Amino acid sequence: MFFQLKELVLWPKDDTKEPRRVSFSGGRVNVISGASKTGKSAIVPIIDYCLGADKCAIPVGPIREACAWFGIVVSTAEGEKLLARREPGGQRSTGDMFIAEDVRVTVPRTIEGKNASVDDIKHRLDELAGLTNLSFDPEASSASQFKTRPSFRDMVAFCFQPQNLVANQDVLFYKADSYEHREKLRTIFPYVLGAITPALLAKRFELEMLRRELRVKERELAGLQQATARWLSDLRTYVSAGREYGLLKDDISPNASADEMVAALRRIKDHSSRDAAITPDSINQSVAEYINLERRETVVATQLAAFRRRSTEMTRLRDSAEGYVNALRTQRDRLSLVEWLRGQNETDPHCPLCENDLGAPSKELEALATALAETDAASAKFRPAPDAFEREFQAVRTEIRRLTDHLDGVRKEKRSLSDRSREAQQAAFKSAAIDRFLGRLEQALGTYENVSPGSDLIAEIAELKQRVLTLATEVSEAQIGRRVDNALKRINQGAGAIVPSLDAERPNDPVSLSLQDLAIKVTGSEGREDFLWEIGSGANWLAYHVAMTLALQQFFIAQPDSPVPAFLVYDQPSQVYFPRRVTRLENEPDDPKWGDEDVAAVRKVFEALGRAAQQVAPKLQIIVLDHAGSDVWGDIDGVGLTEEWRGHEKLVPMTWL
Amino acid sequence: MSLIREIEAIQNPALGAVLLWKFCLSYSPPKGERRPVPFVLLFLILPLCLQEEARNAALKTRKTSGLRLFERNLRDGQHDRVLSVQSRVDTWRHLTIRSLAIAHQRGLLRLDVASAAVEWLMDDQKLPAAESVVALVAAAERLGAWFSEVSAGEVLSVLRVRI
Repeated sequence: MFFQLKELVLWPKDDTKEPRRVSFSGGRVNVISGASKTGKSAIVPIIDYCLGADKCAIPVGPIREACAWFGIVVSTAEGEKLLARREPGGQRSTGDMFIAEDVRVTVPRTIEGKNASVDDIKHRLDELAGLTNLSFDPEASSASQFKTRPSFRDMVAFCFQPQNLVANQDVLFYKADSYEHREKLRTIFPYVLGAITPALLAKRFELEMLRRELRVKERELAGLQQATARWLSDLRTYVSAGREYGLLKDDISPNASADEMVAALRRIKDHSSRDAAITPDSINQSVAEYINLERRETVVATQLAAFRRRSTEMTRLRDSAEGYVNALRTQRDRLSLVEWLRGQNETDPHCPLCENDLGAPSKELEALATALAETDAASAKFRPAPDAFEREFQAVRTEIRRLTDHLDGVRKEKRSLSDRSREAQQAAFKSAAIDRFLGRLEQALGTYENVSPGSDLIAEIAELKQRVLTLATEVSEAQIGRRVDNALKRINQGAGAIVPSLDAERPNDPVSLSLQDLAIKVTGSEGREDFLWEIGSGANWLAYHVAMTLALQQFFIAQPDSPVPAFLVYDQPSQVYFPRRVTRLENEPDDPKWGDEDVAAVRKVFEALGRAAQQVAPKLQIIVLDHAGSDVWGDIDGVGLTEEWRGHEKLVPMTWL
Repeated sequence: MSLIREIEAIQNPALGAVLLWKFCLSYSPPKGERRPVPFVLLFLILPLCLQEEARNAALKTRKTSGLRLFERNLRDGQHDRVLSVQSRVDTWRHLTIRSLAIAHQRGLLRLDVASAAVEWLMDDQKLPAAESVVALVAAAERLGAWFSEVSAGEVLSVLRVRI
């Protein structure tokens, strides 16, 4: 997309000073030529920082110390935009930004404070680039960074070739040295190459959603089918249960098909247990009868108990009467000899021991005789069992027998009622069981209907499959692959056209970009593909970097609506011809002299850049930061000096420091 | 009739006198030689005859079986009836004396103070008595037979009685 730097602005911490402004020209190669430590290598970090980089890579030192805000003015299709960001100070970075948008932006003398955050800026840039909202991978979770949506920040990879990268044998793209960025870049490359249009991306997304829905529904169907399979195998059990409950009147042969059994079961589904006999009313009747019987039982039992008591008393009475009679008899017996003894004469009236009169024995005998007489009298009077008593006694015993029989009868009746009632209970239980059976049957039939061919679920699945099929043809991965290949082919051809004009060893060997490795491959005459790191010499690497980056930009510019900003920044491309010294003596000149060959080689680079810019002018802007002076690159079409930083001229004005 | 009088009627000395007389007759049968009964033995008769269990034990034991078997039969039972003999002997001592007095007065028995022995006087004869009384008499006669076989001391020792 049309996105070119108009200005680079630094605001000093000391607001008495005017801001430092570096102006660029659009559509051509802008060279900032300068010695070391003039701030050339701060340019790329500054631009990146203003474009919403996560971290501030601007080198600490005079620049950070002197500046309060960094900013760039960019020209876009929407007009100009000023993007400024606060110097982070002690922090790694800050999100405070200042944005101004207008047809022509006025650069403020000072920036009072932020009016936006980094996220705002990023969002704004995404919009500008026309990047879609859709996640690149429909199944992306927030945890998966690799497959989040393509953003402007990703596009920046094609714009910068900083000092450490411009002739790097291992890494081609800016920030691609970090794993996360590599993954992201790899993922979005097809999009960037235009192999996936936004419409196609939307379709791809929908396709994935449909596929997921289809999977869910297919799983559901499988589950149902499994349940039904199990149920079908139980069909016979259902049929026999139905028959047992008296619901299934039809004659189902044991060999009936599943359909026949299902049909028969469907017919009984609408029955209910009310078709069975026992009603709650009949149960209540039994209960009432039972209670009645219990009452009768109690009455009879009470009567019986009373009679039994009576019988016991009478028995006791009779026994005691008999006992009394026996006692009397015993006494009489024992006294019976008294008479006989009295009849004997008194033979010896004297006591053998004391010679006294023995009167006592006689007296005793007299007393005993009296007792005997009384006993006789008592016996005569007493009759142990008068007839009335006997009759009464017998009557009681008879009544007892009658009541016992009656009680037995009542109890038997109770038992039989309870048995019948138990049947009633069982029947009630059975009716509940029938209801449950019918419930299960209804549910099973419902499930069965769900998985039968005419079911809604199956129809839904069929429809989903159809849609998936349709979309799949549109979102053909193969097609995308083809488009990618086509794009790469164009890019490779472009790079291949540029390489010969540069200082490469094998200028005619085909060049290709490996998306997998994000690296350049050169195909030798034997057909072997070599990566840059397999090819030696910095000059080669520089040549291929330049060729590929230019070819990519050419490709992007040729795309309608490419999200890649059409500018390139090369930092120190000539370094390969200017070996860096690890140590440097203080009074050595930092502006060395190059050999003629080196000059020629570097000039080729500038020529290639100039040519590239001119070919698509004014769409491509190139900024080169380099040691090389105008003696190297002067008088090349499309290449012009922006600023020269030598002596006291630097990025940061001396007066600031 | 009050209970006391009933008891007095049941365990009356008239009956006792007759039992003592029958005992002595059995002790020294008329056919054989005259043997006076040691006075102390008389005190065992009424306790053993008038008490039902002792009486039953006596009637269960054959005349020929002897005192010791009678004692064993007496002992068989829930409690040691032999010991209760002693208590009854003590309780009815007076009854025995009264019975002896009647027997002496009516000429059934003769008490020889000098030898502390008793002899029957009246000849044996059948008595107008009820069946239950007949059993009592039978018991007394058996006692007579058994006691006569051993010395008085042995009788007391076997029956564990001290007069």
